[in-house]
Amino acid sequence: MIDVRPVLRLIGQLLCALAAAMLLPAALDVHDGQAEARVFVVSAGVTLFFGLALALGMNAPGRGWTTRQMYLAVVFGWLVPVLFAALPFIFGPLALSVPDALFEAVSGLTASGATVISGLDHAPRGLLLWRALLNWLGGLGVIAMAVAVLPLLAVGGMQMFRLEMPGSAERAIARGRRIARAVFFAYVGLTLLLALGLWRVGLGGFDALAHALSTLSSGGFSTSDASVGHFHNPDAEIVLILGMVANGLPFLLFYRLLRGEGGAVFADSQIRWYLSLLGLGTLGISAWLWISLDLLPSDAVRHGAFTVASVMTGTGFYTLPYGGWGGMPVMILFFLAFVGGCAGSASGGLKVFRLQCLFTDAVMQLRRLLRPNAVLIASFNGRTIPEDVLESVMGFLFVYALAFALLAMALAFLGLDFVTAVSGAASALANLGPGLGGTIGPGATYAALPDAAKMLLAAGMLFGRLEIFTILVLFVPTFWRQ
Amino acid sequence: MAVAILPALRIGGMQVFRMETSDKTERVGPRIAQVAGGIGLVYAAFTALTALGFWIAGMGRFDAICHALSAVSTGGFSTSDLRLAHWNADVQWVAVAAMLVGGSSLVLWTGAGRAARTSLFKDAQTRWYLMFVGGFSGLLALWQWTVNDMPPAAAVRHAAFSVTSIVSTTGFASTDWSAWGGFAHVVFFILLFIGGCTGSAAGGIKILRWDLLFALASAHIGRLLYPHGVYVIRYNNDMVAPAILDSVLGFVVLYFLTFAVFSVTLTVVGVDFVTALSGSAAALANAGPGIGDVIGPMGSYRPLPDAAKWILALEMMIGRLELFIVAVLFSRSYWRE
Repeated sequence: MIDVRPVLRLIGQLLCALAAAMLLPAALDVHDGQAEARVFVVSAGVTLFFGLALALGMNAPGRGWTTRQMYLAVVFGWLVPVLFAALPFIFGPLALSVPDALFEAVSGLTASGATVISGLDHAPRGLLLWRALLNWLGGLGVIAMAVAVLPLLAVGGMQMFRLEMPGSAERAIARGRRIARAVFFAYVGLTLLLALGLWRVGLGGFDALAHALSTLSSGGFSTSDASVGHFHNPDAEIVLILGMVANGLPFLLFYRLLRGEGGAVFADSQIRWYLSLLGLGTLGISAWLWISLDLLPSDAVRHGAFTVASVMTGTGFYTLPYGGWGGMPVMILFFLAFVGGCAGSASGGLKVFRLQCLFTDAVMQLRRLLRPNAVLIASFNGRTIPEDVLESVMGFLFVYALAFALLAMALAFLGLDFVTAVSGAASALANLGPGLGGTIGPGATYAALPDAAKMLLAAGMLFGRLEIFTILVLFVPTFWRQ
Repeated sequence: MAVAILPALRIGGMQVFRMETSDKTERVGPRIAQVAGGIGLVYAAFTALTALGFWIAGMGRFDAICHALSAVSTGGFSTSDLRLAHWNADVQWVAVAAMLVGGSSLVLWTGAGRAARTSLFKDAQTRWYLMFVGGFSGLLALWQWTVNDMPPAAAVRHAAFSVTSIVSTTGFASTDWSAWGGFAHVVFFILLFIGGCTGSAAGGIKILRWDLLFALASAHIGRLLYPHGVYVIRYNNDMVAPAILDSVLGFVVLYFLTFAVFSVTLTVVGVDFVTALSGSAAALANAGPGIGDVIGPMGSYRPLPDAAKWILALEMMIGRLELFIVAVLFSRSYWRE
C-alpha cells in the first residue's frame, strides 16, 4: 500500500495557499464595496479548514518521495484544489452551475483560459482578480512540475531535462533549492515587470496586474469579453507579445541568465526552434492579414505576432477574432496549437523538444536509407537522443493523438459540429482556451455547450496539463499493488 | 507494388520493403518472385470473384467488372454519379466484402491458401483491422438508428459500407454521410488516418504501425512505473527489432508532417479550413472523398482551384509511394552517386 500521508499533507499545504490567495480578491471587493467579498471570505475559510486539517493532521515521515507518491501528488495536487477554487464561482454573484464553475476552475488552474462567463467588463473586480490569480497559481504549479517533477518521472522523454547534480547529496539538495528559488523569483519578478510595463504603456493598474498574472502563466483569462482587443493599445499588445513569448521559454533559462550565462539563450537548439516557428507562423499570418484584410503592414505584423504567440504558447488572448479569418491563418494556428512551447515552460501542447527529437530522427531515417552502413545518430543539443527517449516521445505523441481523437469523437457524439469538436479537443489538450468556429471561437464562450461536453473538455485540459501519462499511470493495476 | 516492385528499387527500396512487411511472420525476402506471383493470383481471383458477386447481386456486366476492379484495388472509381447508391443492398454488401478483402493483408491470403488456413485470423493486424471496422460500424449504425431515425437494417448497411470504404481507403459511397451530422464527420476524419493492413492495396498509416505505436505507449507506461524493467515490443509473438520501430516512428512523423504541410499549402491557394484539412488527409491516405460540402462522399473535386488539384495529386503520389521513396529523391546525395 502506498503511504499517502505526504501526498495529503502536500495537498493540505496547497489548499492553504489557495485560501490565502482567496483573501486578495476579498480585500479588493471590500475596497470596492462589493457584497461579493463575503463569498471569498467564506470560501477561504472552508478551504483553509480542509487545508489545515490535511496539512497538520498528517504527520508525514521525513523520508524522500517515492515515484508512486509523486504521481499521486501531481494528479491530486491539481484535482483537489480545483474543487475548492470553484467555490467562489458557485456562490458568487454569477451563481454558476456546478459544471460551469468546475469548468471555469479547471480552465483557470490548468492555465487554459477557456471561459463560460460573458459580461466580464461589468463583473466585480474581485472575481476578475480571482480568475487571473487562478491562472497565475496554475502557471506556477505547471512550471514547478515541468522543471522538477516531470523530468524525474521521465514522462514522455522528459528525462532529457533531468538536472545533473554532481557532488554529494547535500550539495545537490542545496543546488536544487537554489534553482527552485531562482525559478520562483524569476516568475514573480517577470510578472511584476510585465505588470509595470503594461501600466507604463497606459493600461489601468488593475488591468495591467490581471493581464500580467494571466500572461506569464500562459493562462489567458482577460478582464474584458473582447480580450486584449478591448484596449486598442498597440504598445500594450507588444508588451504582451514579449510576455507570451517568455512564458513559452524554459524557465531554467532564467536561472542561467541570473547567473550571467547570457549565451545560453542561443546555445539551446530548442529555443532556436521555438523562436523560428514563432517567426514562421507570424510571417504567414501577417502576410495574410496584410493581403486579405488590407491592414497596414505594421498592424498586420503586430496582430500576426500576437495571435501566433498566443496560440502557440497556449495563452489564448486575442486582439482580433481570428475564428473568422480565412482558411490559411486558421490552418496555421490549428497546427501551431499542437506544437506548444518549450519543455520546462508554462505553455501547453506537445512541446517543441518532442517534435524536434522526432524530426531529427526522421531525417536520420532518410539518410540511413541512402547509406545503409553509415552510423547516424540523432542528437538534441549536442547530446545523443537515447533510444528509450525516442520511444517515450513516440509513445507520448501516440497517446496525445489518441486522446485528441477520442475527445473529438466524444464531443461530436454530444452533438457538436465538426469544427467545434475538433478545435475544442485540440484547444483543451493544448491548454489554449478558445477554439475555432462560431460556437467556441475567440469572442464566444463555452457557455452554450452541453454540460457533458464541458466536463469532457475540463478532463481534456487536466490530461493535457498533466502530460496524459501521469494520469494514465494511475489506471494501471500494478500501480496500486505492493 | 507494395510487395513486389518496391524491392526492385536499388537504393533505399529494399529497406522500405522491409519496413512495409515489418511483421516478420512472412519472411518473404528470399522468395519474392514466388510470393509476388501468389499475390498476383490472389488479386486476380478476388477481382473475378467480386465481379461475379456483383453480377449475381444484380449489376450489369460492365458495371460489375468496373466496380470489381476498383473495389479490390481500393481505388474507388464508380460508373455512376450516385456511386454505389445507384444499386441495391445486395450489391452494396458484396462491395463491403470486396473492400474488406482489398484492405487486408494479401500476403496472408496466399499463406492461407497454401499452408495454414488459420494464419489469417491469428494475425494480430487482421484482428485489429476487423475490430476497427466492426467497432466503428456498430457505433455509427447506432448513431444513425437512434439520432437520425434510420431503419436498423439500412443503418447497419450504410455504416458498415462507409466505414469499410474509408478504412480500406477505397472511397465508394452508398449514401451521403455528410448529412449524418458532426459525429460522423469527426469519426470519418479520424478513420482517414488509420488505413488498411500492410501488404494490402490500401493506403494510410496502416494498422500495423498503429499497433506498434500502441505497444510503444504501453511500454512507456510500464517504464514510468518500473524504470529499470526490460520492455520488449512484440508483434504476433515475435520480437520487433529496434530498427523496425525506428522506421515506423520515422514514417508516422513524416506522415503527420506531410499532412500538416499540405493542409497549409491547400489553404494558401484558397481552399477553406475543413475542405483542406480533410482533403489533405484523404489524399495522403489515397481514400478519395473528404468532409464538407465540396469534396464530401457525394461531391467532387471539380470546384477546387487548379493549383489545389495539382497539390492533392502530388500528395496522393507521395502517400501511395509511402513517403520515404519520394523524400529520398529530394536528398542531394541520392543524385550524386
